Order: sequence, then C-alpha cells, then structure tokens
Amino acid sequence: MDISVMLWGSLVRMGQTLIAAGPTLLVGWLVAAIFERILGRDGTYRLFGGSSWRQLPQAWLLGMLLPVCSLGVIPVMIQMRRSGISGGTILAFGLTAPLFNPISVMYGLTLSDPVAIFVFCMGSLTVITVMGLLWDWLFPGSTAPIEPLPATPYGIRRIGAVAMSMCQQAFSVSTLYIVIAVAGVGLLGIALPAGCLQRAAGQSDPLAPVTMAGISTLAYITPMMAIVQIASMFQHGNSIAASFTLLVLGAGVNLGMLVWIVRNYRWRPTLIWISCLVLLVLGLSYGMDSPLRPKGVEQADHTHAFDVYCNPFPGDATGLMQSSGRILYESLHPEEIVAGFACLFILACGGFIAWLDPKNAWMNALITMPAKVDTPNDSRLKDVVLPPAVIAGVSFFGLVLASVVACFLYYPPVKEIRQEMHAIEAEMVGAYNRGNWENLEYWIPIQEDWSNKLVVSAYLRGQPLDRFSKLKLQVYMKKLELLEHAVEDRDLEEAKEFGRQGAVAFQRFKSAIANL
Amino acid sequence: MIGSLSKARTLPRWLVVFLCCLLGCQPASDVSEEEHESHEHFPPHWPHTIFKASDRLSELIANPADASPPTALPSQITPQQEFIDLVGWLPILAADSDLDRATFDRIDSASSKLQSRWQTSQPKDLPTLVNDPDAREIITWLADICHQERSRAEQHFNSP
Repeated sequence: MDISVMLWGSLVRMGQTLIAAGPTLLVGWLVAAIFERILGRDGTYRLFGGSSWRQLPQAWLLGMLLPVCSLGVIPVMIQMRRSGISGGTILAFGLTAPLFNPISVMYGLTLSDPVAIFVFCMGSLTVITVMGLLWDWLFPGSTAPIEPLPATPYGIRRIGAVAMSMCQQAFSVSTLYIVIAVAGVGLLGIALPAGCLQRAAGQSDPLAPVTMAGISTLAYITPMMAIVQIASMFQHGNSIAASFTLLVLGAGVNLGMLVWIVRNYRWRPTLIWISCLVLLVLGLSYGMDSPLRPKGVEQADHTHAFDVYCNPFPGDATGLMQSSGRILYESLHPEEIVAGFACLFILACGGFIAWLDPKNAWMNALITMPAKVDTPNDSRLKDVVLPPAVIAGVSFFGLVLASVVACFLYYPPVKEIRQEMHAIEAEMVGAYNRGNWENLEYWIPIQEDWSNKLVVSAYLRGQPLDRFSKLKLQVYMKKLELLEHAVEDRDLEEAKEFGRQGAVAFQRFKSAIANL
Repeated sequence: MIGSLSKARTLPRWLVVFLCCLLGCQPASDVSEEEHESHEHFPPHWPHTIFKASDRLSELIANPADASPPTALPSQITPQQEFIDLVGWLPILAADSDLDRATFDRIDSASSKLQSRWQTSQPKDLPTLVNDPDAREIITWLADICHQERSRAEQHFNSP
C-alpha cells in the first residue's frame, strides 16, 4: 500500500470517528459534570451501590441507559475514580455503557433476533459481573481515596457550576485519552488495507471471533453502529460469535481506555484484566454461536460491514485529498454537525477557562457566592430546595422518558420514511441511468438505513411488518446490495439492470405496506 | 498511577507490540480485483424467478429416478439438495414477483411446513422427497399459478 494512501486513509478514519463521536461525547461530558457538581463525590458513590453487592448490577443498568460511547465514557470513569468507587465497578461501567442504549436496543430487537439481543444483553451482564468481581478480588487495594470536593449549592449557582464543569471536563486529561483512542482507529486504517475484512466473519470460519477480537480492541464503534453491524451480520448469516466479540470488545474497549487503565492501575493488572476479558468474551462467543445461529438465512460469502475499520482507499488510489474530503462530507449527519460545533465550543470555553483561571478561582467563587436572601415580597417565588432523592428520581425517570422520546424521534412514522425512501429512489433512478457513481455511493447507504429504520418504526408504533412485507423489503435490500456492487465495479449495464429491478421491488414493497 | 519516566518509556514499546499483533491479523494478500468480481451473491442453483423454480420443481417431481443436476452445478449439489433448497427459497422468490398476498401466504406456509418436516425426518433420496403428498400438492398448484401469471403477463404485453 502506498504511504500516501495509508496516511490519507488513516486521516479519513480518524475524522469519521470524531464526527461520529460528537453527540455521545457531549453526553459524556454532561454526565461527568453532573456527577461532579450535582451528585458530588458521596452521591456518585451511592449511585453505584457504595460498597454493597449492588455495585455491579447498578453499573450495568446505568450503563445500559446512558447514551455514551467508549470515548464519552472516559470522563465519566475519571469522575467515578475520584469518587472512591472500586476499580471493578468502574471498569464494569466503562465496558457496558458504550454497548447499548435504548435506541440501539430497539434497533437490534427488530432487525436481529430478539432472543439473540436478549442473550447478548445477558452475556454483557455476565462479562461485566465476572470481570468486576475478578478485578476486586485480585486487586482489592486499587480503589483510589475519595478526592475532596466542596459541595455545590443549589439553584442557578449549581447550573452554572455544571456548565463550567462540562467545559473543564472537555479541556482535561480525558481529552488526551480520547485523542489516543482516535489514534488507535488511525492505526487500524494504516494497518488494514481496503476490504481486507470482507471475509473475516464467515459463519463457518472458526477463527472469525479471534480475528474480530484482534481488530475490534483498537476500533471505535458507537453503540448504534455496533448494533447496525450486528443486525447486518445476522441478516447476512455471518458468525454470531464474531458479532458478540465485536459488540463487547469493539464498542466497549478502545486504545484510549486501555491507556487510562494502565495509567491508573498499572501494567500488570491491566494486562491480566484485558487477557481475562478477551478469554471470557471468546468463550461466551463460541458458546452462543451455534444456538443463536439464525435459521433459514443464506450465508453471504463476504460482508462490507467491516470496511469501515480498514483503509477506505485501494492501494493504487489517486486524487486522495478530494476523495477524503468527499468521504468526510458524506459522513456528516445533521445531528453530528450540531454536536460537533457544540463540542468545539465547549472545548474552546474549557481552554479559555484553563488559560485565564488556572487555579480554579472562578468555580470556587461561583459555589461560594452567597445565595440571594428572599424578602417577604418574594415568598411566592421562593426557590424550593429539592432533596437529593427527588432530584435523583426525576433524573432517572427523565432519562427513561428522554430515551422513549428519542426512540420516536430517531425512528419517524412509517409514512414519513416511505416518502423519504420514495424521494431517494427517484434520485437513484436518475443516477444509475447517467452512471453517476458518486451520487449512487451517497444515496444507497442512506436508503439502506431508512429501510432498516422503517422496520423499527413500524414495530415501535405497534404495527410490525408481516412476513409478506418483510420479505418484499428483503428483496428490495438485496437489489440495493447488487446495485452497490455494480457501482463498486463501475459497471453501467449491471447498474441499470439492478437499479431497474430495485425500482420494481420498491414499488412492490410500497404496495405491501400501503395500509401502514 | 504511572508517573515515572521509566514507565512512560514503555508506552511506545507497548504500542509497537500492539501494532505487530494487528499486522499479524492481516490477510496474506489484498483482495484481488478478480476475486472481488467473482463474489457470488447467489448459490449456483439459485433459480432467480419463481417461474424457473416452479419449472425445475415440476421437472424433478415428474422424473425423480432419472433426475440429474444441471451440468453447471458443482458436484456436491445433488438433485435431492437442489429440491430441498428450491422449496426453501419459494417464499423469497414469491416475494420477488407480482403474486398477491394470499398466494404468497400459501406458498410460505407450505414451504415452512415441508422444511420443518424434512429437518426432523431427513429423507434420504429424491423419490422419497417428491412422494410427499404435501410437496406434490404445492408444486402442482404453484405450476398452475405460474402458468396463469405467465398468460396474464403475455396478454398484458400483447395488448395494444
């Protein structure tokens, strides 16, 4: 592979990682700030079950609910360590939080086998329980003492403190670990030539989970991307063992997190922990492979699901700068653009605060600022001081409610999706007739994404697709895949033929779901 | 916490080890162009349309004793295997056609019923498979449906 291909490919993959991580990174900084300034050290300690047996199950449950990725979880883990939480619980939370969130579980439940997703959830619970217990048993003295932190007063001062803390979280050592994690993705882009993992997850390949373990430890995968890939692996009859390995090690672990563990707990415990983790995950993966293998699914001879971990350019590619710009531009989604700007703004504010106020005097001034004394005339506007239990309860139910609302926003009504798909299909007709490859490369993945979202949306709104409609959609998606390959090969005749077949299949699918 | 310089110096070495492990995961060679083009998206005996599947199934039930696989098929695909696969693919092929929902439902349920029966009992040869009354019934019925569909399509095509 040419050195310029390696470098440009690596830069593209790192750029895509930063783009994808924006929303979950924001959540990570916010959660870390809430832990620090609202819950405080004691509250955070109690939230994770203190020193009781509930530590690990609670870490798992909170991890399942919080929409953070393996980058966004790093500042949260740092706060947990400062709160005197045991190493086993911190690692359990760090491992489980990026695996699932309510939106991704919903996607997995409808597009994979629900039993498989349930088993995967239970598998992740087993992994974090065993690993957490093992850690605390092997390294009982690894818990850091609670770092003192003055209590944050309630009201506007607390809101200000959370905002300032969020900026400080962004411009802190945690960002260095995030940079290291992104560098890990770049390393993969250098080491893996384009398309070299297309046959890495075959159902009959006994080494597929091992290969996946080697790759995914360095890779960065958002919870959503992990579940999309798992659903795709199920649909294409790939190795189930490799899917579970990809989920736990790919979504849960990255290079930055490993470096953080080494810096905080030293080399030996980290090596023992990661070795045990890989062995346990591989053991469970091989155990669940055969029972969960979907029946009646033809095994595809290759998959493009893992192309995102490899260099995006073939060895002899030219025009790398333009292609890189195009790929990055096409990777942008509206929510990621907003989140990206918000991240940059918060990071800049954090840098500004660190530069002008290195001794943290602003935060101290904010939390020691005297509260406004109510006068008798203000009695109706009197600020009610809520007990921490109420705040915690409202936060928890708010999180659940926000997750439900987020599910409905992320998966719009079927009618809207159908209109959107219709418009994209019209775009594609023009594109394949003219041989506009770049246009097709842009629209096909979007159409595939909408197709999957439609299934979830129908399920979410209590009108799941029947088998007739499901198979009609499956046929359409197969035609899209064939068109995608024709586009890769730049074969105009094939593209026209598969495009035409796709258009017919889409019409049939639309008729099948006309009553939804 | 690792704070000492000596420990910090070990970090690059650790990264090198990791990279070496990764490079060990690479395939022996890149995916060649030829290999990429030969990606088969369908099994060799995939019939592409419900009509072709129906024709081939009718052929197999008409003369099971002398059934031979088409010459293009690999030797491991026996007529018996071909028959089982074709019956299993009927629902997806029906979905890739203009057959209506009621017809699809009948094909789908017959296919599922036969597949689950064959999974448990595993018949040894093609004559046993084709002598299954349910299999004969659905294949004959499907042949009629396909004939009607073809006639309808021809009429539609020839109409001014």
